[in-house]
Amino acid sequence: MSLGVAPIGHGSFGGLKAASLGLIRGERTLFTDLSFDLAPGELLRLLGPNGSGKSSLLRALLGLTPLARGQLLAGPSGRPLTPREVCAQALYQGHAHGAKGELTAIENLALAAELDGSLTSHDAVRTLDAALDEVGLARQRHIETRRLSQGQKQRLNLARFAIGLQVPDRPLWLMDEPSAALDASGLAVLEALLGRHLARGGAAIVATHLPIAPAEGMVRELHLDTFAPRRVREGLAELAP
Amino acid sequence: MTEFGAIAWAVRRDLKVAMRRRGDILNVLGFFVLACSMFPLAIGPQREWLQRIGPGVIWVAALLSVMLALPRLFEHDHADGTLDAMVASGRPLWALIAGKLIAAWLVTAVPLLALSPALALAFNMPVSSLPVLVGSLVLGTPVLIGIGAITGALALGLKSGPVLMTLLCLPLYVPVLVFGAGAVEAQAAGLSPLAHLALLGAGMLAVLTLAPPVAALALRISVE
Repeated sequence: MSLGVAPIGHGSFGGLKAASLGLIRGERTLFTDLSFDLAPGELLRLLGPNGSGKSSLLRALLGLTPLARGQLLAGPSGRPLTPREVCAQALYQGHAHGAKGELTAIENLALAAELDGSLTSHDAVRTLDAALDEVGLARQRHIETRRLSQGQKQRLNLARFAIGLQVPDRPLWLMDEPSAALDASGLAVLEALLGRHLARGGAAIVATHLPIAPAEGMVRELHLDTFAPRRVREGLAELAP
Repeated sequence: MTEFGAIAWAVRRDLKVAMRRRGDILNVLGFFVLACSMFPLAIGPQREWLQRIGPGVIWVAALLSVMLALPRLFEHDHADGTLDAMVASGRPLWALIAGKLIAAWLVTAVPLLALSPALALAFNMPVSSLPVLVGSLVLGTPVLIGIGAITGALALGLKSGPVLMTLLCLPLYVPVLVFGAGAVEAQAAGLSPLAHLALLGAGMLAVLTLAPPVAALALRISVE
């Protein structure tokens, strides 16, 4: 069984706008006056040296880290969004893997998908199996997650997004380094999933150093270091090769 | 997913994880039994003395055993990123925490409740006092876990978190200990334990309603 794709209606998701976001971590200003406009079918690729605030931006969009300035708006209406509303629309994969090491791959996937609300009770087992199959973890389904390699854990995260394609509720994918530790075939799975998601009218913000080119949708790049305050920008320039 | 669904999800998840980490449960239980059985060895086997100190010793040991298990409540989830995932899911965080607390009570407190009558008999406590002892623990342990959840959420991710948690917890635990052990002692003295139990019950109701939302607020600050 292969997994289906639920289209996202234009009425339900019109994209995401960020208006002059600013973020301060501790004493340091990571970026100021950062704005972007993400339309359905678009992928925003976050770029910048380590420490430029890619992960923090993703967390700030969800309200996990408070923004010092700025606002998130629903496009195209321009209605202000609360962090809670963004969370309800988003499928987020953070820096840590977000799986319990004691549970098996399929148990972790089931729990994550239930929390996302993307696993309907009928056919749940077949959906889980199909998703694990798709990301190449069919044989590891009953292995404890702590025994999986880093790349396999990333694939397990991708399986969650594959199940997310089944429901239209979470049209905004936020992924923090999903390509880290992935091999070529894993990268192909990531691109295929992103392509299907963008084609169905979803949007994604992905922090990654690898160039990703989904078959469908438009990829735009956001260089975070261009929004860093001047002093930090000089420091980052020294770090750059 | 409704609020109830979120509670059920968290209970199921934490019970599943706990079943894979049975060593943690046994560790708490072992500590409870050991702590209780050290007292007769230290102060001598006089029956009247044991009977006199029994309720207090069992209550202190139960309190310390619960404290032993509490730092794990959020720490593992924080370290492996699942706590972030829960906050970012957009589900009501208080409900997810309520589920975690229910699971924590089932995993840490219920085994203590089950063992406490046996330990009470070992302390030569009369059989008639057992229902009051177990009842006071049933009412008191949720308070211990609820308070521990709030302080644990506040201290999460801090370098000196466990120390801070202990300092914050202990003064709040004192009334629970006083009324819990007091109920059993009152009954042994031929008085009604109802006043003590009623106060414990009131404390339990307050903590049941307050702990999940307050811990949720504290967690939102801690994950920043």
